[in-house]
Amino acid sequence: MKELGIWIAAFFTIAAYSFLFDGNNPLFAFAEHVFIGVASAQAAVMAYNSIISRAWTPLMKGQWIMLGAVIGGFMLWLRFFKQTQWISRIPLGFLMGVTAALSVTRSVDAEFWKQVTATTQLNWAKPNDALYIVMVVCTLSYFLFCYREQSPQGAFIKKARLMGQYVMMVSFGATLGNTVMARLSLVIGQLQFLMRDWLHILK
Amino acid sequence: MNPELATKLQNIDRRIIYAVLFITLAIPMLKPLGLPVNITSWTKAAYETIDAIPSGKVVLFTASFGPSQAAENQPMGIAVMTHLIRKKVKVVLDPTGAEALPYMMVYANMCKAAGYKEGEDYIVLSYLAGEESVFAAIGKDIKSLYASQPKSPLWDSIKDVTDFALMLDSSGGPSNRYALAHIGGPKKVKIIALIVGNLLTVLQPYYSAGQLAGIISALSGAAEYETLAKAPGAALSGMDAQSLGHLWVIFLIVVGNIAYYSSKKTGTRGGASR
Amino acid sequence: MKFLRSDLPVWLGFIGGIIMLAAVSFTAKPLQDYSKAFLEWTVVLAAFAMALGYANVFRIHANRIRFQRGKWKLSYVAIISMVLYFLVGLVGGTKSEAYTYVFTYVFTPLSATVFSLNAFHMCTACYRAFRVRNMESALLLIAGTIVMLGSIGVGTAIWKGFAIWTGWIMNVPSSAGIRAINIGAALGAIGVGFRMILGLERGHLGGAE
Repeated sequence: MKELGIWIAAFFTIAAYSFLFDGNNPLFAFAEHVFIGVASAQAAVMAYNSIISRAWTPLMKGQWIMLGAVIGGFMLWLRFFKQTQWISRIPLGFLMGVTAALSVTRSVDAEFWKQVTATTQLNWAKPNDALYIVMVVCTLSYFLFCYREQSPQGAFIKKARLMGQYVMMVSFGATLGNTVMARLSLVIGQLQFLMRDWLHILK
Repeated sequence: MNPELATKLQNIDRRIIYAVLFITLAIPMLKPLGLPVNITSWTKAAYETIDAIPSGKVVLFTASFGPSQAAENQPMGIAVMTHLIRKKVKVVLDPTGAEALPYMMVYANMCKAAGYKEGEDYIVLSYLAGEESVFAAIGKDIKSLYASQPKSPLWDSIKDVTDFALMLDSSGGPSNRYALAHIGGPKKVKIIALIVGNLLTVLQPYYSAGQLAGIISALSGAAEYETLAKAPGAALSGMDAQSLGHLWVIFLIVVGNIAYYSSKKTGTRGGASR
Repeated sequence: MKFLRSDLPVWLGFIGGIIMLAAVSFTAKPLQDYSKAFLEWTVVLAAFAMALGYANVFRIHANRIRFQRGKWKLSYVAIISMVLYFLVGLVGGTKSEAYTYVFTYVFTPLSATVFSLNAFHMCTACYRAFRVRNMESALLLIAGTIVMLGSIGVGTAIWKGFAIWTGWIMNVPSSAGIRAINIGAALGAIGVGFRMILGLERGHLGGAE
């Protein structure tokens, strides 16, 4: 069974890679549609298990507060019928309100305050730290638009914006380098599977 | 440069580019080059943090990666699990992504093979949907969130997320930021991020600010950890291929620019054909 | 009726959001209990939304077959694989041999391979699009090249400086630039988050502001 599975996996791998050499051919289209089906089913199975473990089981044990979530969930599904589509907006509004609050909580502390204090706590006496502070301020100034270019402050901000632009380009270059590494790893993983597990030419 | 050559260089068939990429990645797998692995400061910090955990303590290992990130996240996860098992640290495995459960089961099988007892030394929690909501709920009250988890000595010993000596979050998306915002910050739990390569620049500021105790990033990070933990695996064997792949990409950038500027001088134009 | 259709979702968003925000600052037990319950409700609602996605994909392909639109014959493949795998997961469970078999030998290779196609498109992008036209693009390509060489063994073998410069680029300019971008993005997220909680942003409900 394992050997058959490896051949099935190899078939789908080659079918997907056929896109590179032959465009949207029938083999790739078949693999693509199997992927759509299996991926959706995978998500549905996990969603079902999630509902059973976090809603249904507690409800059966008498935790009636979860009834609200179950009713809200079924209201979400009414999205499919034109006459009752508006009902799905009720639980959706609640869901978006809670997640917006989580996003605000995350942004205020971890992504704003702690990052700002970490920058201010750097040591000006160390060249790298001093450069770091200057680079952060210059990059932030890139997003300032409320100044008059003709004023002395405006001229200074314009120079800082240019420096900020350069710093961002270096950041994006570093991101490019790391992204190349990430993407190539995926191909390496698939090649390792084909050569080791399928063709047995690799130890 | 000869204008004909410049035009040819600007019109290389993309199938040739793809074929050469396949070959440059495959050859080092067949004939390893034994290239050195450079240890980065953030991977070393992750290793030292894990190495400092006393035996018998409990670690929370969450994962939200799937097959499309497994080539990077799985080798580093296996290296970290090998290190944790060697130190006899107990593990609570929590799949926070819909596709992560089978990979958590691989780690669970590693624990079983090493003689760990399920329920005493390791447990696997159930998957719950919601991403950020799940991390926020873990930070608030992990026992209430996983109320349907069967009773066991290990699970009963956990009262709150602060009972974990460390949290490892393996992901290909934003879950590391959720973990450090809702668990690392308010509950002061140390967090190590195991991530795909393109997230390294995004998380680097959090590591510099001390919000993350370490980062293991991409296949190279996995190879570094395997070297530090003396647990060679799939990552080390893939690094030679990674090296040649990078050289091919750099070569393409250089050739593309030379051909572009040569054709600009001679007044001809082109691009990758087909 | 207008209240149920357009105002109630906004009010529920406001109540949910305000209680979650208040629970961060105030430790009153009722507030903490409500925020915990809201989080657990959100977990359940997210699961229902995931199942909704599955049903939507099913509906799209079923309609394609019904109206014989596009590649409708292949929609049979999508629907059959969707239904079969769902039944395998439902009946056997996610730890069963059958489920793990399909995950390992069908889903994993398809997902990993389709995602890895990115690497090839990136190669053609590097070849076609990355041109040194000005200072900005030069900085981007130089930084990218140094990081690519410094992260791999062959770069370190050519010159040890690549690894040192990669470390400096990652720790100083790259980190500084991304930190500033993160700070700006956080301010934006705070603004948008508050607008959603206060009902000023209603795009997610399918209506105008």
